[in-house]
Amino acid sequence: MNGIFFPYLIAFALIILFLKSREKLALAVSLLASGVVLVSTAILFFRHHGLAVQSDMPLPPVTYTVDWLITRSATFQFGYLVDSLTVLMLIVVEAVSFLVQLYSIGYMKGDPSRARFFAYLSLFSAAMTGLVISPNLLQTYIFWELVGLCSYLLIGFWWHKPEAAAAAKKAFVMTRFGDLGMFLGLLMLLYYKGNAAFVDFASLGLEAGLATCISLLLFCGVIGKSSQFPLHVWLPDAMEGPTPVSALIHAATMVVAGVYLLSRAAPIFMASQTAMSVIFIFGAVTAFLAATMACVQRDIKKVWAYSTISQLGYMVLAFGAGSSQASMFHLFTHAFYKALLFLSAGSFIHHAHSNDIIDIAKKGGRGMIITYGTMIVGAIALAGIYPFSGFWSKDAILVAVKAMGNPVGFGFVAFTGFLTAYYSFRVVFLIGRNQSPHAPGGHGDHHGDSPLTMTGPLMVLAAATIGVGFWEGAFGHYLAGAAHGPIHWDVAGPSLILAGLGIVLAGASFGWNLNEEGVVDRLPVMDIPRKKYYLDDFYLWVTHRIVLGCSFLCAYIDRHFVDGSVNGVSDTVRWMGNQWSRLQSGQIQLYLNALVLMFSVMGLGIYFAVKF
Amino acid sequence: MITLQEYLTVAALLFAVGLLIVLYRNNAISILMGVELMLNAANLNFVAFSRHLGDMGGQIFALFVIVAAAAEAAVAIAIIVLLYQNLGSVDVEKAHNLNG
Repeated sequence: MNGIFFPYLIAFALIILFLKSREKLALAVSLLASGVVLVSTAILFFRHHGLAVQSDMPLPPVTYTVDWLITRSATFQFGYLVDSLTVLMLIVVEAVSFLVQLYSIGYMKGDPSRARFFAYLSLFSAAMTGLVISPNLLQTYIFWELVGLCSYLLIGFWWHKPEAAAAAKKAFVMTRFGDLGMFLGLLMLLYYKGNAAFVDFASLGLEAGLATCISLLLFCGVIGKSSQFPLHVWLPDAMEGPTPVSALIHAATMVVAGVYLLSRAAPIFMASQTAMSVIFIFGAVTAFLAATMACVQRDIKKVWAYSTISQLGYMVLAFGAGSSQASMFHLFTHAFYKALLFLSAGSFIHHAHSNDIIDIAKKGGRGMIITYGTMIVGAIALAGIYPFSGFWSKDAILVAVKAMGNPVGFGFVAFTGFLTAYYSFRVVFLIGRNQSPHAPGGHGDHHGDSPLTMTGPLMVLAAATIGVGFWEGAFGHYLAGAAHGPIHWDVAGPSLILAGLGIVLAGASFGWNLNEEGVVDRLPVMDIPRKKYYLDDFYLWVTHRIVLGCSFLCAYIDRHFVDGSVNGVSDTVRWMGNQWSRLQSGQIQLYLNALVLMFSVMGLGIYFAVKF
Repeated sequence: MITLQEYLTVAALLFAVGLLIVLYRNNAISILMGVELMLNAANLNFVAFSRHLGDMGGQIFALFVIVAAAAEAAVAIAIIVLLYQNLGSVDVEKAHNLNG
């Protein structure tokens, strides 16, 4: 079990070292590794679930660790931890990884570095799996950074494109910034309690102030990695990477690592009410802002990117509202339908060679039956319509928020649901509009739909999206032993109505004309979300003025004072040397003068010394 | 009678004058003359002490000094001639090639 990520690592090593040029073999190795891990995960799940069904309590976790780093003050362990939370995350990670790898065969066809892509995908899957099975916070941190590295490698996969390189750098630096807070939290925990193992968290006995501090610091890591406000700006730029990367990393797996951490370290967070409120606020603000930004994007991947940020906000606010279960269930369902949406977007992009929604519509997006159909399935799930999976997880979240008793918060979250439905169906309707007869391609291009390796995963994900929702009750029981309740119509009713309104608004805005932007899009106030709330500009200003200002100051000090003093020493020595060498003038009378002077002084000295 | 101190004083004054000539005259031959003056001052010292102490050793040493001075003067003149041939002048201020 500890070596569950070994197949991926082996695949990565093999491909990087030997198979860069032998594409087909590289693909086969990578897919084989992914398949092996997926099958192992499935077996693990069936066994574990079988055991869990028989017992009323949640199963105790299985841990295995080795003492890895032994110091005088603390011992750090390396190993794995398996409980229902782990198994669920593993299902998500391995299933989506496998499907994405399958999809990439078709998507990256013709790309000269296709083998390198699969190597990086394998490395990422290895790191993500390692993160999921980590038994303590330190190991989580190690794998956390590794997935960050893989994200950098994969976003910047087409590194000769300057936007991609810049986006990769931005993602890595921003998440690193959040990770700084997380590392501080880890250090504080180790300092005060000497123990960072997850199984011990419940019995740590942290007092509220310390718990708040550590929670907020760990939450910094979540803000960075799971792209919450204000560190969310890297995720839309990360769309420069190939679409399978966006689906895998920035929808289903890496960005949810933060949410996973919240659930894993739940005892620490739940010990501090302040931290929970802060988490809720961050999640709610993120969800709302990102939803507004998603409403005005013309690039299909950016819509889903902002949607991901918004849904991550949902997951975070669900946790902040007190329900780790709702958060994880939303993670679970979201992974499937968001990956579906991204992969279908990729299919459209592959066909139309453009990311722009209008272009995709013009080039016959509507005719790609499987792609369009599965995208609609994903959009319905995203909007939270019964009986798709999105409805169930959103329902769980809304129930938790309602239980908080804050009407403003509930209204906020519900309104964000309205926006979610609006922007997801905006894309659906924009692509589905009637094409004018002379548009190239019209109904169904001569290419038809994408190849089976691309549409296959789409169909699997669509089935998962539809089916997973019904598992909610068992999910709750599996995760925490909680019983399944009936549908809460007081919550579900309003959310369904709002979603319906969103869809209606989208349909009304976009149903008729071909080129016209919708009514909402043309509102001047929409420029604010379009400009990403000027947050990127703010960061750029901070970087240029403050950070670079400090750098110039430091460079100045270094050049003038530090180098100056070193140079000054050498200059002084040289000056002294010059002065001394003037004594050696070559004129004998000078030497004689000096001699006579010396002897006189000596003589006088001896005379006086003898006399006294 | 002329006391020993008076002889020694004269010798000291002669020595001082000779030293000043060596240190502050620019002409090489003047410097040579200063050196001779210093040597003779030393001779005077020797002879004065020899007469005062009744020991012939002082006068004998003075004779040796005279011989040495003569030999040295010859060599010095030779050097000055060569200096003049190479430098074009006997001004010691111009002879500063060994500077640093």
